[in-house]
Amino acid sequence: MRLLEYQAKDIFKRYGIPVGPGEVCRNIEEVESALQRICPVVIKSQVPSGKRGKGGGIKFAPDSNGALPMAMDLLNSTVCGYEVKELLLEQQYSIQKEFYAGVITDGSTHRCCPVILFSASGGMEIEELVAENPDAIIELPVDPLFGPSDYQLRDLLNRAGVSLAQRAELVKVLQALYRVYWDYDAELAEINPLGTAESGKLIALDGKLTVDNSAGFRHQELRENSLDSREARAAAMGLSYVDLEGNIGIMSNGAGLTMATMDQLAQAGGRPANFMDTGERILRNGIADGFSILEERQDLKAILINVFGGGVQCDQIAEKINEYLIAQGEYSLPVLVCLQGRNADMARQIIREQGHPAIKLLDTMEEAVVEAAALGGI
Amino acid sequence: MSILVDENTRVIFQGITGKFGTYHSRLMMEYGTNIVAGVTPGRGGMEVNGVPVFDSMQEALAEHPADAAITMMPAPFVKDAVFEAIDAGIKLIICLVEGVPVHDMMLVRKKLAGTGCVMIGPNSPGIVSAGKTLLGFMPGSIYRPGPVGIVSRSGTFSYQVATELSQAGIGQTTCVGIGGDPITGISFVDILTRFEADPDTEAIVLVGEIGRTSEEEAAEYIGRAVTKPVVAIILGETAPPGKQMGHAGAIITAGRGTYESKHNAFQSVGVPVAHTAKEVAVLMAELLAKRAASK
Repeated sequence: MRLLEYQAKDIFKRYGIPVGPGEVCRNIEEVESALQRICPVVIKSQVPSGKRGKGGGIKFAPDSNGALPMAMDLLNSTVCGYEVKELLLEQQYSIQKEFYAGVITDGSTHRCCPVILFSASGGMEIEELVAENPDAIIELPVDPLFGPSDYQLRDLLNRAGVSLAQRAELVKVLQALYRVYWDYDAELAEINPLGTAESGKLIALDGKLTVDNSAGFRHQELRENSLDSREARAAAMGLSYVDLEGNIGIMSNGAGLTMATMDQLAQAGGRPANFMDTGERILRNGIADGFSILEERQDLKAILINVFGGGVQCDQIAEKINEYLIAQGEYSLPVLVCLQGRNADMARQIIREQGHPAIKLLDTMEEAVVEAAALGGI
Repeated sequence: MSILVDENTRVIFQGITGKFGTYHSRLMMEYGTNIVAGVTPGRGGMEVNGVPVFDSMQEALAEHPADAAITMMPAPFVKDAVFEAIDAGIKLIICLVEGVPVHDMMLVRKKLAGTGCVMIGPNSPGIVSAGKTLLGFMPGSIYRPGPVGIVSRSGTFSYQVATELSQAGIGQTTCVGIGGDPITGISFVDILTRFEADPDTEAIVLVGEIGRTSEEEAAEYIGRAVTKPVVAIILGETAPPGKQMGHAGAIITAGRGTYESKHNAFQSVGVPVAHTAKEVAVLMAELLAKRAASK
């Protein structure tokens, strides 16, 4: 779950991280009101993308007269594929220096722990920094039982080339950022840039906080931002879904098998329209929900359902597919079905004896992807 | 022989009274798995599929010594159940649960360190030693005893691989799903070490995915320490970067975890990379024939 900048900053502020004054605006009246208090202003679209700066989602207004039209242009526009529903208006600062500070989870086998990342060259995206100047990023693996010690952070800052005068203040910020990361089950807590204002004070100019979806039960006060995307709608149904550009809709169980279905369809010359792992939902409403998501796509030539029964039983899946299609009456898309594993024989029998006419049963994944590729028009 | 589990493995089932626990413990017992007790706090005294249920791991172990624990329950309770199993002295934990918080897994890793206890998963389909025992929810009928070890990040696709191998007349020693999460207990390298040491395992299939760096680590280890032939397959060649592909661990971030990086890592140590489960079986048949001829 990716929080918006102002949501992350609200949390940062509570943990003692210095954040400048800012106001969230959802309409022109709120913008006009905020502009009376904040000047000069930076106008930031609140969308969950790290590329919004490049995507034109952040504007620096020269004066308050220029600010209003800029804000109106941004509000309700689309930035990085997201509709801008909220703006954050913040004070502009004259910044002397920009740092990067982040806490991530490193799952590599020798670590499996939090890692604090720091760089004296902040501002650009961490991905770019990694690509351009990886040595400028200093890492500190942290023992999750104890958290970072101040001496470790001082050493980290020393290695990053931070002057002695700034270290004490930065240690406090890094400790607070780590506590946010830990308390919120974060995958990523990041301040980039962490600026030094003319006064010498540190200030978090951006804030990023991504919370582990699996830990949502511990953070019920946080709610997923209502993003109007197909992926978000599918997620609300419990389906893992990613839009792709092809014309064959895919429904499968298990992430690996779903990726394999996409890969093999592509190898057969076909073009997958999506990734969809129904997971255990397949036993409940997953099939009907999956169909409803795929039917939103106007460009499909066929739907390919590939299930390997293990934790789930194929006969139940066959019945659910059939029930759904029969309830639809005539179905315009061919539905290719490949069912293997637990109770697959029973499943095939169900489809052979009472299957909806749109269903085409295939015995192997190879046959299924070749058939799908042909329907997609190679 | 097989790795980690065999027909003598005695199993305690944590969460046996749940719907999935009841259903899958029955299937496992039908396969031949020796489930000696179940544990669900508050349900002591019950019986499930003829197996006695206890309130705690310690009470269960006092009457029914065991080697392994299967964990199947809602994700919020997993950390506690795993801690309980470790403290009770269990040496092998198979965690089938999806959606365990990653921070919980960091603490589990700390808890495991130095105990000699090995954890498979979470988000694992389990482990099966063909014809001997099955601890998980893989469909038992697809496995045949034979010379190939399978280690996989994917559950369902590992079934596909086992099916193709069995149909090609190539059986398996042990098949392990290490789990699709960002942090897991046992790693590819841990399993490769065990397959290398197992006299009955003649060759190995590794099923990887995009995301993480576990395949790169495995390739490096294979180049250094594995003498047995290995065939790899990597899922997610068509996955776009920055998108999580179902498994919490399957995401390409900051240029790390790409298909190309993993593919190159295997190629550089001479491990052929297949594109389909069928191709895995074909490559494996060739490697086994070559190995037999050179003996």
